[in-house]
Amino acid sequence: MSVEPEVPIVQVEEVRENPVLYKIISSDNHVFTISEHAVKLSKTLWDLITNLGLTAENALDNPIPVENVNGKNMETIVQFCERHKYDEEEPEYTNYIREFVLPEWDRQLLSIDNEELFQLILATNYLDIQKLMDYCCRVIGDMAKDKTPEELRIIYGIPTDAEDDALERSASDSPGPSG
Amino acid sequence: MENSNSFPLFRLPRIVIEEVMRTMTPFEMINFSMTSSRFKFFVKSYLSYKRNSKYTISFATTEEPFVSIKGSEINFEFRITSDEKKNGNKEYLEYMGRDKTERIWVYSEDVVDDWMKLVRTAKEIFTFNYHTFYFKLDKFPESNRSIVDFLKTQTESIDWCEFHGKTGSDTNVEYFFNNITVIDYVAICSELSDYFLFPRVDYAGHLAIVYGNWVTFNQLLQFKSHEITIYNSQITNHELNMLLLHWMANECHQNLMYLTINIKDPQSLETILNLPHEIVNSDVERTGRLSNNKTISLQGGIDIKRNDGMTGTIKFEWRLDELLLKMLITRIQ
Repeated sequence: MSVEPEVPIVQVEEVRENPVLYKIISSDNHVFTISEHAVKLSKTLWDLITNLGLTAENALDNPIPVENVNGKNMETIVQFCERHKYDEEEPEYTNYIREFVLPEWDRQLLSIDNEELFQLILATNYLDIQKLMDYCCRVIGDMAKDKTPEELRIIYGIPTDAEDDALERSASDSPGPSG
Repeated sequence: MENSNSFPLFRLPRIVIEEVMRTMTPFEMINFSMTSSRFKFFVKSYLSYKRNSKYTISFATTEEPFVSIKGSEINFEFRITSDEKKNGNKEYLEYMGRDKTERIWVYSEDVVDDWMKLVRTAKEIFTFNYHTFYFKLDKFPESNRSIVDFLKTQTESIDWCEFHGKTGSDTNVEYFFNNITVIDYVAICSELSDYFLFPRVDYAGHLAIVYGNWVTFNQLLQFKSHEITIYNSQITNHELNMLLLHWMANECHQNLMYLTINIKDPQSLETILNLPHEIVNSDVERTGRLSNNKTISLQGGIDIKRNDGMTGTIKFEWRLDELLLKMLITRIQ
């Protein structure tokens, strides 16, 4: 499998310890290079690589198409994975760890508007990157801090009971498919 | 309703919403549950399936009624206040590196009503395996009965409860015990009248009475608790002697493990000990087995024997200006 890149390849930092690199193509045909240690953070991508039998020798000649993730999100994801590829495995969260503070670099990376964050989470979920998922969820959870129920309803677009009822009524009133 | 600036949480896959919930404190979960019935249902089902979701709840009708929820490590305490200036204030307390509390104040124009709403929401979404209740009887005296009625709708039993407040509380305490079952611990720290009758003599948990003026010899004989602590009682030394004789004959307090009671007349201890007993040298160490099968180390004391072989080991200790009789009941190994 070989696809000509339509846009310049995003460069990753030189990896001296492990020179194996992979190419990923986003849904809008942006091509990204990612190191082996970084790509392992994505369970989905690593499973694909394993199943496709990609090796150090043939990896760069066989870009991996990821049709569910666009270039903008893939760029963020590659940056994140390269940044955290040598992190030690973190213990599983217990509930609401007070001491946990999102690192500043990651907070900056995830300082994006709500729609972009929403799309990034869907991509992260699809690529199964637990650490990025934890961080994104932390950002979303932090939006709830010190907020009243009324403020939460606005922040997260939660309909009131009356709005939910009205939606249900209009759904049941609408004519079904004609037979 | 959703707008362009809102984060569309409900459009995420359920598993992702659950990940978001995982980052939230009970404060946020409760506030979320108050946004809509649909979200309350979601939070409730999330909490019911979550691993290690064991919580305890404490609620109190103190001056600032509160609800406190504890998961694995931290107490999250909501305080309802009538002081608008305190609204949204937060406080973090840590004691000895162990007892950690995050406290938040929420302003209310009707603190009792909003406290009830808070208890109801917490009870709806969390599963609690321990309930603690502090009843300050003189803070909202006109609401005491409705508070008990409300609690009855929320829980079948309470594990631990304490009563505080000044006189005039007999009927409230009676009403509470006639409607709510307590399992583990009762502390009556209120000053009750001399005529008060404890309505649940069959209560088997720890019974602590700070103002024991109302405890008559007959009531004392009837208590079924495994641990009894009474201060400021009017029980005479002669009655204490009678109590011990009844115990030795296995006629009362068969389940008792610990007894602490004040001695009205410290000058005549021989009246209490006018029964067969043995003084054990203070340097003699022994091991006793309690009726719950736990073992305990004993040093010295005065032994009296029950007719089934159990030993009551008595010691006398001062607490402030009261001399106390303390008896530990074990089978000596």
